[in-house]
Amino acid sequence: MPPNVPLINDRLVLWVASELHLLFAAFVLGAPIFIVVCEYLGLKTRDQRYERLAKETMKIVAIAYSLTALFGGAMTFVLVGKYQEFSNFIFQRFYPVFGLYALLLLVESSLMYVYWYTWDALAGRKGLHISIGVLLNILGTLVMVLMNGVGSFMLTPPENPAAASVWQSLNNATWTGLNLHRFVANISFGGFMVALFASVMFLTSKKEEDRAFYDWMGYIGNFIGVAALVVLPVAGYVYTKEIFAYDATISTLLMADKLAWFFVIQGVLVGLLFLGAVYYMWLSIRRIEGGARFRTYIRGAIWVSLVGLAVWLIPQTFLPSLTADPTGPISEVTIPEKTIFLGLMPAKGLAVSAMVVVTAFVYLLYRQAIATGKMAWGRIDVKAQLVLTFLPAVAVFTMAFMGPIREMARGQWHIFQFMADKTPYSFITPLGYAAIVAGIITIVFFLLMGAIFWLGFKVGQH
Amino acid sequence: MRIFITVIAVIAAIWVVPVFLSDDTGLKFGVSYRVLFTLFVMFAGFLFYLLGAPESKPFKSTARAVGSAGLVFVASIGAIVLLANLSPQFAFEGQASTGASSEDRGKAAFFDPGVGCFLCHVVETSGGTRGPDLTHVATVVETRRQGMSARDYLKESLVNPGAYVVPTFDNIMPPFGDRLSPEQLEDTLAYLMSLR
Repeated sequence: MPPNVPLINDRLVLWVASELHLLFAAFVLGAPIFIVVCEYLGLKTRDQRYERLAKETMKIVAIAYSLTALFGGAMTFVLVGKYQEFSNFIFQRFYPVFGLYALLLLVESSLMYVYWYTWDALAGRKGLHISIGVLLNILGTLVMVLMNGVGSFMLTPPENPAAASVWQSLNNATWTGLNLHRFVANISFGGFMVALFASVMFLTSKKEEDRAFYDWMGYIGNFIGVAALVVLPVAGYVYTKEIFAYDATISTLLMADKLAWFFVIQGVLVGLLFLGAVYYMWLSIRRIEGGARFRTYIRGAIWVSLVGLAVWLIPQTFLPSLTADPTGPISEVTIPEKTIFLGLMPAKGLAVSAMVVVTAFVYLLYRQAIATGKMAWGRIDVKAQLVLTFLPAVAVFTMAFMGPIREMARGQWHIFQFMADKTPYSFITPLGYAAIVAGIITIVFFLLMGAIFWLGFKVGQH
Repeated sequence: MRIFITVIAVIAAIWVVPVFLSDDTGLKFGVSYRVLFTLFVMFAGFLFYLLGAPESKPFKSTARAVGSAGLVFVASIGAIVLLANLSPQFAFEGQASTGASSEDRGKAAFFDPGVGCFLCHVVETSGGTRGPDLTHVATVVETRRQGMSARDYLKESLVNPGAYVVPTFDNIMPPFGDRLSPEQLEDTLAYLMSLR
């Protein structure tokens, strides 16, 4: 840390508050999407497991909602108190947006409580209850889209930001990409969190029928998490392409300068998610009668994923930034000339595409196994439940890690090339520091979710 | 056992083969890469060990089960944080030096992340390669456009980069007329003109 910057400073407090707000918001936006889908599937298929999954997850969402608001408030207080020039401008520029945001939030909150508290009362009118859920999701998505406009404005403001209209400020170069990426990521995140609940409940269940249900719930949550995950690289690519089209210097900062190694770690994280998902399939396919015959193909898929991950990880250079001086011979830290293509985007794109395709292939194999064999829910290797703990941990850390990457892409600007950050905290933090903060945020988030979970399922059991 | 032997053999190959490779082959990976490959092979070995591991028995108690899940969680996060901290790091940024001369201030502006010139242009060995190399730019552009001095050419490149785009490069440079104050613009020009 620079000597004139204290260990706990305004920027760090804002960082933690906004990340926790984002993580809880991602959960209360992502989970209801598939809660409503599950409720609908329960109605269509008359499979009561979907109904139970939807209701039990909604219990957690209802409690998590207040923490979302709490950290949103904390984030706003720090912004208004410590970054007054910036917050004055943002609130004045986006005043109608914040007004609409507050109104939508009020309606969304009311709908959320109506959706939860009428669950049993509207048991005979499922169509109406599901409609309330759909409306809840639409409002939640709109709330997210409005704030994405503010966030994306900070990175890619329109030409002449001082004179731009509200709509021009909102509809900036990266609004669409951020909306798409966050929408899909929220669904994936919601799925993994449900899988986590299921794994904890499985591990703590005493009855066979409960274990069978939570095994199934873990599978569904993981399926949703991975199904959305395979789309995320495309959404991320679209987003980054928009950033590049807006200003190439930002994308160079992201991919070649100080933030390049942040993306190498991101590659590790996403690779772990894909490999973890396939390993879960490897373990769980054994509980399907005749499912073991597919394991050879899953092993092949893991080989392809490992090669893809290796290509994805190979960096162009081990130097931490474009202006870093190597301490030894440059050849020791730079990729050999004949293999330079391994460090470029086409190779990376091919590698991640291969990982996505084989993961999807493994899930198709699993569906085939279910179609041709008998499933013994509950008879799953307990390592699979530990994988369902590993995946959400990595997913949440990835989100906590990617947020500051996007924020630091602005460099020393509150609003890129328009309003400078003149505080002592405007520096891009080193990779290790950012990872430590992301790790702390991840652990705090899970401790809070653990408390919510304990409140909902142990204290509130009836 | 077979996995362990395979992992050791591959790691040995990673470290021994380059010794016999000449630099002319263009395939000799440096120490940093060999360390990365070694870590990767160890991870792959661990994964294949897990694939071959027998089915685990259910936990004997709830506390053990939850404790194991918690351990996996903490170990996962801890390993990632450790990896990030062992990866290449740059130092925390200090205050940017403004320098006494216009040329020094221009150099500071050129390498200032807030301005961003170095992100696309290399000088000597520092900088990106999305744009032309500027190591000797003042000499190179002296005769690039007839009737235009090097200084005028460079000023136009900063203020209206699309007016002339060096062949084989894309027209992606943003205009810096609004991003740099008049003083910064003069300082940056002074620096660029010093690159002969």
